Amino acid sequence: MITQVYGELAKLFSFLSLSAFGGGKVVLPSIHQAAVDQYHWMTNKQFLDLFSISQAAPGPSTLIVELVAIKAAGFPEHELFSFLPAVIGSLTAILAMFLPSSLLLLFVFQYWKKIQGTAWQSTFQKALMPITAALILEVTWIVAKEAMNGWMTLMIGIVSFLLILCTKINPILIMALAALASWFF
Amino acid sequence: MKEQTPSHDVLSSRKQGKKLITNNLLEKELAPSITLHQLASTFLFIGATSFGGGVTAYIRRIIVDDRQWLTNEEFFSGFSLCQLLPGANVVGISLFIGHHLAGVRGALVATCSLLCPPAFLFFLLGYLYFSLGTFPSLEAALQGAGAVACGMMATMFLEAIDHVEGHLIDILIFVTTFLLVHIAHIHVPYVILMIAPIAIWWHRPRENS
Repeated sequence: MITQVYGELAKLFSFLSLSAFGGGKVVLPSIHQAAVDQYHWMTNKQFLDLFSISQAAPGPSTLIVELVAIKAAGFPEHELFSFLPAVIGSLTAILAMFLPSSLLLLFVFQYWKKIQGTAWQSTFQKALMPITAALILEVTWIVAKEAMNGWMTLMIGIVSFLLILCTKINPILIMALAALASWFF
Repeated sequence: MKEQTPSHDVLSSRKQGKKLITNNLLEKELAPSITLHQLASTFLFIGATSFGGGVTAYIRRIIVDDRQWLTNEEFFSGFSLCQLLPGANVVGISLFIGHHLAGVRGALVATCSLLCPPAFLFFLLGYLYFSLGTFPSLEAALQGAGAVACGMMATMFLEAIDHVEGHLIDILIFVTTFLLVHIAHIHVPYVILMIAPIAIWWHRPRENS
């Protein structure tokens, strides 16, 4: 029964890994649909809660696959190693989500190193740069819309932008101060 | 590898039948030699402290600005490749940085180190959430961290736009890409499929340049 869940996790996430063109966020709706409607691992409310946890915690938010896997594999009650299924499920999900795309990327990076210094490499570099800049602007926009919800966060955003741009202060320090500031005000 | 003299470098790359531009050769010489240990500790640190989203911008800040292991140009070329290919961008750029500095082993070390601390934390948080049924609200503090992450993203955007060539067509490509994604809400891969061939054709290697 539980091995079937591992299989489902592996199949679902390895497929999504290779279809996540443009980043992990792209496959979020598919994960939502699979976890709630297709496999009935959790309720809609639970998925939304997991989403906010994945946004708040450090690291790539694509690690939401781990949270989904924990619920899918579950913590069977009255068992000595009740956390074991969840651990195996987590590892399955993480490997399935990151390994296929990583192998593809490594293959491309090897090739990229081979064409280093050739005219074609500089062609790709120059051609992709304006596209990348536009995509970064779009991500900045999305992050700003989520993060700026009042004058306080707007101030923090502007001040930290200037500090990061003009000084060499460790961003962790800025982040800690900002967290304290928005906690108190 | 880093200790090789330039002439040796040219010879060995000629043997593989590749063209080398002098500029690139200089870069190769200047590339710092980073041990796997340094890679691991840096990416463990990044993994454990990248709060508030915008992790790619945080990685750029640490690797390019602080450690100076990569130039902005190298970083953005890697980031462009990640945009073309599937998978989470954060993982992709870690793979690229690790690969650039220490080959395939470096890529694996960097990515595993990046994922390890948050993976443990996510497990703990998931366990707490599903056994308590709720989650303590840290929203206020995290909102501040999110605002800083946003500021960091904005600086990364400025660096990126600084590396765009100044031709009219580059600016047109930039604006069109943004409008297609932002206003027309077309999926990023389709936009890349539409725009990238035009951009590549424009920048194709030409005989006279």
